[in-house]
Amino acid sequence: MTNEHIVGKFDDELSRIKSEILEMGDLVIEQIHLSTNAMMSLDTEDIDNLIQKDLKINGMYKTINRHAEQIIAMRQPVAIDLRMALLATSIASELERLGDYAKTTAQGVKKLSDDKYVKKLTSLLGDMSKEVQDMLSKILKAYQNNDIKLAAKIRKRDRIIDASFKKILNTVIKSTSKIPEDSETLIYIVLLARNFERAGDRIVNISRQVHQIVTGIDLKASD
Amino acid sequence: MEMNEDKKDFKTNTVGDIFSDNPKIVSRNVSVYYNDKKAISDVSLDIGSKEIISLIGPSGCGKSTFLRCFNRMNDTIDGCKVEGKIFLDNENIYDEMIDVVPLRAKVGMVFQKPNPFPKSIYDNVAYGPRIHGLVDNKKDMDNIVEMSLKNAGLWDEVKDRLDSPGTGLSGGQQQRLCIARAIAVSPEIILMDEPCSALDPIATAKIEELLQTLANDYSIVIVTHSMQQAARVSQRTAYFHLGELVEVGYTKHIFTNPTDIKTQNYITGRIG
Repeated sequence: MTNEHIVGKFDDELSRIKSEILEMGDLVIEQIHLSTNAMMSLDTEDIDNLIQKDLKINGMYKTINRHAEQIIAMRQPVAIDLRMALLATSIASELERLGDYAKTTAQGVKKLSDDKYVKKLTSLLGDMSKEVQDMLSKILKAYQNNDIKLAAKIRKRDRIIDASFKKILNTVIKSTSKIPEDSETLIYIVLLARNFERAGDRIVNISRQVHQIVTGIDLKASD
Repeated sequence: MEMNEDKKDFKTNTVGDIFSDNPKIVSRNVSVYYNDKKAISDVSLDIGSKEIISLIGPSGCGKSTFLRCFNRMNDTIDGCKVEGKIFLDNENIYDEMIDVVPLRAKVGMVFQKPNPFPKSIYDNVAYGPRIHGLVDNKKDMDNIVEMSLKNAGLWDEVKDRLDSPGTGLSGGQQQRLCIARAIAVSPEIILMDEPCSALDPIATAKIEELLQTLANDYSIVIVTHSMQQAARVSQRTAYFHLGELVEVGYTKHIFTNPTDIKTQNYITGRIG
């Protein structure tokens, strides 16, 4: 998309921040994957580990912010370079929140049960999670390759997540009369579903940010 | 005549809007040759009234050559030939009837290296009004010197030593003295060719602050190699490359999302 800088170290710094985002994104995907597995299997053994790992994600967020700040202060980037540095902090912020959702999912496992209605709902949550993980994996690829077409495709897939959320919500509403003793569990399921729905929105945000880095156009402003 | 041109019909390879709603200078299809070598090619650009416009581009791109067209400084260079038209307030400054002396009073110039005359601070500023016969008594001259030094932001620093040599001032003060000297003859346009490249950041900041004040009264065309300076001081920026005006536009646009890839490569420091 762009040529190399005359000052090679500037390219190195921008590449480093990109690598850090990709590394952070991979860790977030892993966290969502593991917390979803725990949710599906009701296995609470690794939960503390998962919650601990979120601290690493938070640390990476701070590192990316610091490196972006250094690029802005020391290189005075303009145009696409400025967007690469500035929007790296926005993408890192979205990833940090996605990491929080994974943590909340892990924390919610203890509130679930192996009731068959609950199982049915967690299975739907599992489907949402798979979609989120795949969207996140692809949006990181779009970010890596400055691929705005792929980013646009990902934005459209948010509808699938929204539809799944509505489906879970409707199922919960119907289930409350069938298993009234599990109302707390059902509320947690709605909260988890809400997390995945929000995760979809955050991936859409990243998709817009990728578009803005490449084109300079803020889709949110023109929506 | 050309001044009544239809903007829609005007053809140019330059990206962006070359026109100004309120032009002070209108240049059309300007090419400059140094003997057989074409230094700038077919450049068309308006300079707006009371606007600050930066001309940027790599060394040898023709930005200083274009700047020097506005007060016919290129006339002083042997073998230099200017083609095309440049109108100042609807008057073609390359018309045979034009006298360059009053033209250069109207279009002042400040150079890269401060170049005060080996005279007192007072006489540096009084020089122009004196040779152009703008005043005939000491009181009026005192007023012009004081106002010019005030407008150049130098008065408070030199008011008690107006008889001291201008060359004894610091680099930043000398450059502001040169600005005072330029504005003493009531110009309408000030051309600046890298006016801060020999100055430290504090002296640079003072000049840049001064530019904002001067823009209340004058059109300012500034050639600069400092991207940050162009971004800080000017409303519009024009990017030159290999003698052509590649792109012109609002500075905030040029430095956030330039349209032409050549502009982007230059402002981001990429190999183009």
